[in-house]
Amino acid sequence: MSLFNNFFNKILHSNNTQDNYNFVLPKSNDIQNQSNTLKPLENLDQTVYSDIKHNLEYIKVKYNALINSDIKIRNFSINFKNQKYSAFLIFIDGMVNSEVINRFVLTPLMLDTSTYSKEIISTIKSNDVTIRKVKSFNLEDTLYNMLLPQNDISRLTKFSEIISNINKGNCALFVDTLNCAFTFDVKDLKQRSIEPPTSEVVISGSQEGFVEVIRTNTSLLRRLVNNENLIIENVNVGVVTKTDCAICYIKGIANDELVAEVKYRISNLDIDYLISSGQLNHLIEDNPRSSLPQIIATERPDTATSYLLEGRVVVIVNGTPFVLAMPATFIDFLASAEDTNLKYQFANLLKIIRIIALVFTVLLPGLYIAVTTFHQELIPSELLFAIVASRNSVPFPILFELIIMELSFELIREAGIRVPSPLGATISLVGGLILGEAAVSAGIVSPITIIIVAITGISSFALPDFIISFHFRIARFSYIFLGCIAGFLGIAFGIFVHMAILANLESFGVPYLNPYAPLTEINHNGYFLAPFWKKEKRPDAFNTKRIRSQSNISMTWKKGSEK
Amino acid sequence: MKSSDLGSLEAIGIVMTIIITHIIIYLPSSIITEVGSASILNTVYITAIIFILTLLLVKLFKNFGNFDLLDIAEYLGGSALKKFLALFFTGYLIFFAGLFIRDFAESLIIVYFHDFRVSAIILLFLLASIIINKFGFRQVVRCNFIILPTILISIFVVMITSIPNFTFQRIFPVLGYGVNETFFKGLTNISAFSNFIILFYLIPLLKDKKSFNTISFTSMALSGVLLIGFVATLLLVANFDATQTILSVYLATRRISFGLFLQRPDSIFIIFWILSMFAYLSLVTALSNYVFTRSRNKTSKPIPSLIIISILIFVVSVLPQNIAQLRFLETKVLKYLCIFFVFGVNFIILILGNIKLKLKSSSKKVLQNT
Repeated sequence: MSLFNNFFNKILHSNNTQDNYNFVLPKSNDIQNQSNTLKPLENLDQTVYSDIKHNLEYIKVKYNALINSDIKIRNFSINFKNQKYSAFLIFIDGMVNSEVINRFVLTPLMLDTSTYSKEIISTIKSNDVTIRKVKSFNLEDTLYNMLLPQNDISRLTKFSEIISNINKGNCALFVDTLNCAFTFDVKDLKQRSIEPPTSEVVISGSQEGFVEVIRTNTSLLRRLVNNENLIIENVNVGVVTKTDCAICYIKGIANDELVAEVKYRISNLDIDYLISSGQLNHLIEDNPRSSLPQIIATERPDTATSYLLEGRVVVIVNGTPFVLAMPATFIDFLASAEDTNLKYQFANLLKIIRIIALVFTVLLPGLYIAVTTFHQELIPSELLFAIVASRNSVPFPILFELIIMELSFELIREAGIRVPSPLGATISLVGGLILGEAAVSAGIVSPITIIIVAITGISSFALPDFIISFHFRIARFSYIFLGCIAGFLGIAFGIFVHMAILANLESFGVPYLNPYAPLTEINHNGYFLAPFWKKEKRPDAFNTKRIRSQSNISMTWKKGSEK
Repeated sequence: MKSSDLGSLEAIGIVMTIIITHIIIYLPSSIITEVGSASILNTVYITAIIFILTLLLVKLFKNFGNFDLLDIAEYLGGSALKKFLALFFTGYLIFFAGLFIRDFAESLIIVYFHDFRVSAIILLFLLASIIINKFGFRQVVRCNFIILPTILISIFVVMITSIPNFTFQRIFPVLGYGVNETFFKGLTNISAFSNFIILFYLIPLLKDKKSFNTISFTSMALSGVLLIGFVATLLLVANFDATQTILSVYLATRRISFGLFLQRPDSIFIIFWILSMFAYLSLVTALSNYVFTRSRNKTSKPIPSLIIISILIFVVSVLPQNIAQLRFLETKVLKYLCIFFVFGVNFIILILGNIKLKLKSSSKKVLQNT
């Protein structure tokens, strides 16, 4: 019977291509049993062998050289004092400068060994006979001192260090009979040039932004701080990626405890990988469950420098153009990089506008729903009639209308960001104007709702920090529901609980609402900008080692004119 | 910062939060009903007396260093008196808070939320209070400190915008219902300064203990100014017979209008009054919790005092069966309870503590001399 079945199946499904391709991902437990490739990476205490064959084998296994296309191993020989030493270079293609390797590593080793002369330690002359004491031959020292014309060269014995160097774009040289390897800085990483920051645009300030390469970023800071007390300490984060992070602070200004705390938190991260400063932000902030940012991210070197000079600690993560500054308070997120470039009167006007924008962003839809549902007496009679008339054709309750429009706005915003930039403007235009107009004509929403949502949306763009803007976008929905449930009572409840949450937050030991709650010495470092010549002291909450940032009379030229 | 590290302004803020909420709810109405057109004079009079009492308080605390009334009670009558005082204090605050929250909730229902249940509104207030108190005492203080200026500004706006509605003839006759009513019976209006009680327990909470004198005088002066200002506003704006019906401040705001555009701006102010009530309730709960916790031994098992206090406030708030009962409790029972406890029991303990201290030090001197 089964024979018959098989026969007919073969006839009927003779050309059956497998439409149902069933791939099943094995469970993680099974994978762990099979693969231990990550384990040696975690614990690479193996030292370099004196036999080059072992070293070559070790490196090939570690780098999976047979399948890894960008790992380059160059075998060659060094002829030295009539003796032949096997050697090999290893580097990652695309990360190194081939010209430098050819001219300053391979050429001296393969062609210029003849220029070697014995190193004379001392010379004694007696009875017209010169006796020269020559240093005994040592291959390692000779290579290091005479044959490798490199400014940044290290002698390393542990494979972990060697592999880490190679991964960063260095080149490693292994020579037979030596228990160490040489690594040279021959990096030639392709990087974006320094461009104006995209998220913190200013008109009258610096037009330089951080890039993805940590060394370029540290150099930008170094150039602006221009002081030898700027300390840049490197820490590697991530068992697999070993991402370079630089902890920057100014010795003599930043509080030692703060620096120690930042180092402690960053050094005690047991993670496999770290790709961006955003991830580090989540890992080291005081209250990671809160949607409020507790660390400032900036892509402006001048802003980061001013943070350093205020006594904060700045952390740069390799691969991200955003650096982190800590501690941070609520008012920091409402400050723009442009503020300090403007006259303080203009800056303060903008700050007032930002406060209004903040109130609109968070409360406007909630207040609208509260007023129209519970407190109609607040609306002038004519306006009330207009609102009622405009809502006549709308079949939905205000809550539904608002939620629909808010979600549509968020959708348009998200789509505008994600699509390629030439399409972004089109989407905003189509979404904002045409869709809004059509929604009103179709009687789905009332014009007043469109106005409320539009004002709210525009206000949210006026907030300088987009992370805190996200927080307020979430909070806005809560206020809409509270306003709908209990009018102003609900809104007040929301404000109070929101305040409580803000009052409870701390960033690296500094209260989030500082310097207002708890009230500390404001020293012209409050929300509103004081004239620069009045900012005589650093923020009180940072407990800096150097409290004053300028003398009582900073414009000493005025004193001179009085005389 | 420890939980006890209160700055001078924060401490003043605590004292002010209490009186502001009382002003919003009932104080000016109560005073005007009691002494009529002599309200301003009476308020000035009780403010002067409160200054004398503040001076006395400062003098009496001078010999006790960092002690508050609980420590003095322990010194005087052992832990039994301390516990009794703490319980009385907690009970007093719970009683006050319970009645005020009920009064406020009733007023909200009358004016805006006709379909709401009183218990639902009260529970909402208590929920906010529990949330912030879960964060801790200093969070309560910080939050209050942020909210207080906005409430103060709103009160000043009400005062200033009410000026066009003033009828100055209402201050006549200046002595109101007579000298006796204004100065002798009217003396009971000193209960308006029920926030005075905070001063007895403030010292251990302060960052700078030396600032206690400044805090005491400043907070009482500001309370006096605010009370006089608002009593004057309400007296000059509203009729005496209308003052007892609803929130004092609402009566003033009800008459404000900004042309044809904003004819009923009172709804805007309601947000501030509600915030004030949230701040008041959270503060009273925090203080009750603080004093109650301090009275207990450190070794004894911790109990969820915050929840218990909140439940008790809710129970007290739902006890009065109608507004008439509520008004009676507020104007008669609370008033005399305040005078008895704040200006009676507390001062007696303080005076007796001083006498004991004096006797001990003099007997020590005698011993030293012999």
